[in-house]
Amino acid sequence: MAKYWEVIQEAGRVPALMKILDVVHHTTGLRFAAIARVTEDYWIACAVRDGTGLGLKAGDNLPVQTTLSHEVLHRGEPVVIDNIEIDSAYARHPAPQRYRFQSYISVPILLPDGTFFGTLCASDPVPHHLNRPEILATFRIFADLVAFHVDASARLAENEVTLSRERTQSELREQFIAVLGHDLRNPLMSIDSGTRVLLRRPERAAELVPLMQKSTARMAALINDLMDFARGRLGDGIVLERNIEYALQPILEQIVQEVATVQPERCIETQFMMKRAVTCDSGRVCQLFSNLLSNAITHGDPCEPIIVRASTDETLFQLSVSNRGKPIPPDAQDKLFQPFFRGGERRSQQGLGLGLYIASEIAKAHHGRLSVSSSEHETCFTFRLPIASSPDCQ
Amino acid sequence: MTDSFSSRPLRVIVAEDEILTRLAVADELRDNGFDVREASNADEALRALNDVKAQVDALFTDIDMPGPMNGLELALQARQCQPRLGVLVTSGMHAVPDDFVLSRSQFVAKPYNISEIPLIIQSLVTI
Repeated sequence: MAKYWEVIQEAGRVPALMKILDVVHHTTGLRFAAIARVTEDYWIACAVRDGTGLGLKAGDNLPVQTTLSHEVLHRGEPVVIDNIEIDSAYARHPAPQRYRFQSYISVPILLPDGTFFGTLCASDPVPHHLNRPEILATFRIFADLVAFHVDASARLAENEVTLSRERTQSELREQFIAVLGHDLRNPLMSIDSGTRVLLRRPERAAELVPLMQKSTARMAALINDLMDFARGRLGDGIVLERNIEYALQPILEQIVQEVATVQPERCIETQFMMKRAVTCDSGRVCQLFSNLLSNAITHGDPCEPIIVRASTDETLFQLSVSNRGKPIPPDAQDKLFQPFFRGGERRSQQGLGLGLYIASEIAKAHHGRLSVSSSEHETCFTFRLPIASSPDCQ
Repeated sequence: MTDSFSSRPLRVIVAEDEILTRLAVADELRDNGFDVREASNADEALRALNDVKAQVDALFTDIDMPGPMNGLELALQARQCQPRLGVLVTSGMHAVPDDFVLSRSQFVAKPYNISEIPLIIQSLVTI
């Protein structure tokens, strides 16, 4: 249904299609004519000319098995009835009585690739001599015209979607190049500045060298993020080194400790219930966790605690990071795991906007899932990893 | 460097959140005779501007800094306080946005040659 939804919606407003139905009426005298989308599951009117008071209009649907279009779908051939009372094939079919007709014609609408789209059908409460070559030929031509229009409309809609996607990709590429340039030039300038000051004032080495190392580390982290992005988009995804990790909880606790040391003013509460080992790439899980924690620190209410929960049961490892603060709008939630999405946040030294994308790729590589829920109450990111039967933690 | 109408040193506020870059620029300016106040974000720069009771001659500012105000917004506000302020804007991006228009200002892209900064500032002040 989705592919032709716009065609179905718009057909009743297309003058050329309505003109076809008018010509059908004038040519044959049949007072009801319609273009219908027909599948095994539904019959939907795309365009209707109802001169019989049946009450059908564009957008209405009928139970498909009650229609003769269903016969056309299965036979692949037109159905033509001059007078239902003496028609041996369809006299007992429910359609004539249900839809109040005695004469009827329906031809298949076949798209250029041979796909059956639906039918061009017409009927009347009184008999008409329809089984004539010129009537059938006329209907076939009109059906071809409808098929052409449907195909062209569907292609146009597809092209618009593709164009929109290409525009978005192009904007992302432009943004990526600009942001990459900025995010690499800053630490590069910083290191250059540091060497300059160091040359003039070597007595400040103890103060300056750690700062230069931090800038180097920033560049290294950026390059790592870029490599992960490239693997995710251009390669086969992030490659994992999986091991049975018996001591994931202490590793996660250490990350919390490191963050708390750097941000002592923030409250981070932990609730760990890890009873089973987890087969995973612990380094990558830590990367995912660090990212979620960093986001919570950046975007969460600084006066409220961040809650970290990690647990295992028979089948699942769950790791979640929750924070209070402004909720993420629903339309932004859909885009959170896309690369470079920064949600309109002001630029700062926070990287390329690849963190959540990479975190979601890590989850995917583990055959797990990273999801988000956000409300006025809290925002929570949860990583779920199915675990096969694994040993208990040591 | 001095004000051409007196012998006082030219006063510059350096607003840059990258510590090493700020140190290097401030050092270079001081070595060339400028009176320098340092700031790590726009709010600090504005406070420094207000603290200095006398005229400030120039503002050197990065664009992207932590806090609610960026360097371009800082430049516009600072110019309102000190109408003759020369403004040197810097960034890792290629150029300032098209809609940023300010007289007596110049943009330098990172990474720039720090040795050139004192001369550029001097030129903005004497326009």
